[in-house]
Amino acid sequence: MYRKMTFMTLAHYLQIIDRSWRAQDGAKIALFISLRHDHAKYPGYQVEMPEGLVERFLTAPIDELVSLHLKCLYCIGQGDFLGAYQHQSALIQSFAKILQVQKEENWSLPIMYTVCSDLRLIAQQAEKQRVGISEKPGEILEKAAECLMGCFRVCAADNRSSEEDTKRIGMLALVNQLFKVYFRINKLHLCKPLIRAIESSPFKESFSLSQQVTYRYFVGRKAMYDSNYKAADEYLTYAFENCHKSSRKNKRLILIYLVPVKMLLGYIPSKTVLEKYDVIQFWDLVQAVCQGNLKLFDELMEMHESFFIKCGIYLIVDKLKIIAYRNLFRKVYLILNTHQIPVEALQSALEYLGQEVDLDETQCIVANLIYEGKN
Amino acid sequence: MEPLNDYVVGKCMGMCPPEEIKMRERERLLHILEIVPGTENDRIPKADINRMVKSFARSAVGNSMQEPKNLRPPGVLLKTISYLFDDVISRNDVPWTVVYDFLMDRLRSVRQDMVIQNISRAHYISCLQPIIRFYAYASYRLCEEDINTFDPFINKTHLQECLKRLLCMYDDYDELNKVAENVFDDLLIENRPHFEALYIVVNIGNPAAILRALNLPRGWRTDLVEISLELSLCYSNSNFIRACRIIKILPTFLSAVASLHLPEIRRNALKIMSVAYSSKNLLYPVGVLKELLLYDTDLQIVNDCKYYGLEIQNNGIHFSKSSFDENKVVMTTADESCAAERSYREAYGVKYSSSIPTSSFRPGTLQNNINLPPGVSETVKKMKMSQTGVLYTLHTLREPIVEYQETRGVPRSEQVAFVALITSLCTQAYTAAITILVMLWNLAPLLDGFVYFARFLLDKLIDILETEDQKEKIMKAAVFAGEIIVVMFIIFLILGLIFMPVYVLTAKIISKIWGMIAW
Repeated sequence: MYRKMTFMTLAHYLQIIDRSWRAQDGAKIALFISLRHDHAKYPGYQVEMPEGLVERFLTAPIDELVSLHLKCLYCIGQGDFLGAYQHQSALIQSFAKILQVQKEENWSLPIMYTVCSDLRLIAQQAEKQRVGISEKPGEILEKAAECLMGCFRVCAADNRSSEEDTKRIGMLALVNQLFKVYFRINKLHLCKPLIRAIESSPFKESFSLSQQVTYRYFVGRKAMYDSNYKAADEYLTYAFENCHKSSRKNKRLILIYLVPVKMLLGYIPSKTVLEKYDVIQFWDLVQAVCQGNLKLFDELMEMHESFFIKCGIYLIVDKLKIIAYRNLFRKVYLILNTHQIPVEALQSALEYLGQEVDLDETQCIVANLIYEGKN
Repeated sequence: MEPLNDYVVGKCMGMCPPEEIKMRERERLLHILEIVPGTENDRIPKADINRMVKSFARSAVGNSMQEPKNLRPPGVLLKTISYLFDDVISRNDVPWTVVYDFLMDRLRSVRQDMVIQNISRAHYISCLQPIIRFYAYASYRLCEEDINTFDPFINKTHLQECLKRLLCMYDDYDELNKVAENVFDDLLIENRPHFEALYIVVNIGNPAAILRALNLPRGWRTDLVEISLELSLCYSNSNFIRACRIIKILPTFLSAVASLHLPEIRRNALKIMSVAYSSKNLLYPVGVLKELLLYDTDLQIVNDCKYYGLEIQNNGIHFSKSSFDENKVVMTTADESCAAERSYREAYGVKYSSSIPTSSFRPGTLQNNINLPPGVSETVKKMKMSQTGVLYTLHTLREPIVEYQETRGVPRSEQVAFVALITSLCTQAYTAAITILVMLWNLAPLLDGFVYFARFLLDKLIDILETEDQKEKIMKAAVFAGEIIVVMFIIFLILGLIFMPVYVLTAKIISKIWGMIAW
């Protein structure tokens, strides 16, 4: 089929869309209106003013969508992502209207999935390109999120349809897209109402597995930022276990967050897992934490600082130091083999490992460990 | 994206548009700081044209915000700001809260004008910097004020808004100047590290603020930013000792802002310590904790401890896992115990100058309060947790007694002192003496028993003697004899086991007392 695409004329393309629209074949239209599909790369589809041609083949309301899609392709061809973003966002707005009118049917949801994730990707590109005179950083993505919210509202409000035809089943995909935007522009507080909407949805269990994995990955990350490590562990573990084994990149992404969370809760990952998913950077960290080697720990923090910051796990990795303290103090206890350890002994252990602490601070660290019950 | 020339350009060259001067004079809406001195008590006070500043007004119907003649161009805005901060802020003839209200309102209007005209970044930065300093300073200076005169929340909202905008400006400025190499010696942004640090300190422990600092370009991560970052990390990892130490060494201004977080840090510290140092009979010296958590006086720390439900004895804090009251929120400055302290100080003729977050804001006093003598904490020994040998044994022996007494209603923490001991011994002796007397008194009914016995004896004898049949007489006599033996035995028991000892005891006590009196 892709092979055929290379030779397909624009007229042929429009005919296929027309036929699929009449047959209510959402998946096929989704494919043909995607910016990531092969057809998007061919200059033949990059038309500046496609309205005339499109109207000859297609009827309302699909004609508007396709015109906007072709214009968007044109802008991308020209390298103007801001323009492409504007066309794509107009496309979504008119699609939302179409979706709203379609009662008791949800076959067009696949189209929504595709155009929405395209919008996000194109907004990211536009963000990179922005001229930066009057916008704040993240403004385009924020606008894109508003646009997605429009679709979300249409889906969430569809509570009259029967269970098979409800558009509410499309909510999770949109939520995931919104999560991706909010995480990128660092507006995590906006995730809360979305999570509430999903958790209270009667279709909570019937969303597709892949969407659920994505959803839990983000909710897990959010829980991690909120220092709710138990919940983070639960969500991320689910995501990791249910993520398809061939999507190694995703598994690796999950692992980047799951490993520190697990370590903070006292579970140490095995070397083979770390090697398998190419996150061997963590192995030294695991070693440092297990041995209580604070010197190595500090060095690693400095060395991998940018990696940790980029993934947003700097703060949680910083918290692993507490576990390292605990393991170090346990070693001191084993050496002294008494049940009353002088604080001075702990202090000299810390000082030996390059920590500048005095007795008061050592006591403070010990107090924290006792308080958290890590013994 | 709108082109730049879409924005209005102000044409008002005074600090206040003439129209507003007239209107406010007519409507008697002049602030005390804007009136010609001497006309305050007139029916219509006169406006002092040189001191009038445009006041803040919300956009409303019939009230166009875009009118160029009511908007001040950037130069005038800067002049207004310097008037406010050079002349008004130092006025001593009105209370500072009045000055604060005035500045708060007028600065808001300045910011409004800035936004409407979308003034250039350079102007934005130079206007926002002093404004932010003012909000931060006010938050410290007025932190003890009543909520009616100063609302810390509103002040903080303004501070955050300005600070965030300034940081965005810095970011944009950086981006625009990426090509030019000389960004870092630009006068306009030389204070950037200071404001980055302020942002971290104001949002202490906030992950977003920490991440921002971590993502700063290397050139901006100066020592000041680094140390503020460390403070924030220590705060979020509850390393309160280091956090307090950093607060001490921060520059005065940041130190003042950071000290506003002290109540939270202290609460957390006390919470952790009440678990970690939980002990039945050991105390943590108040003085040591006072130094560590930057309290000014013993009284403050005692008040805090009481507020959170911890007991204080003999100048030591009695930490206990169960006594810390989780429900108590962070004590705000306007709290009861603080008020109690205030009245205490007034009662003792001490000028009320400081309570929770150190003293009033004069750099001198602040330094005095914050820079504690070095080496204090190293020399002070803390809880003597690691006793050995005899002491340990004694403690082990003491423990069951304490436990037993606890079941009898004596609190665990009670220390037995001499006076208390004497009192308790006297009480016990008195109770014992009374008991013995009562016992004697209660023996009296036993005498009744002898009456019964006599009657029984006589009845039986009469009965035997009246019996005529010889055989029956012998039988009755035999039974009587048996009965007598049993009764005699019981009487013997009563006398020997109950009467005699009591009698002897009483006799001895009396003879002893008599002996003591005679001697």
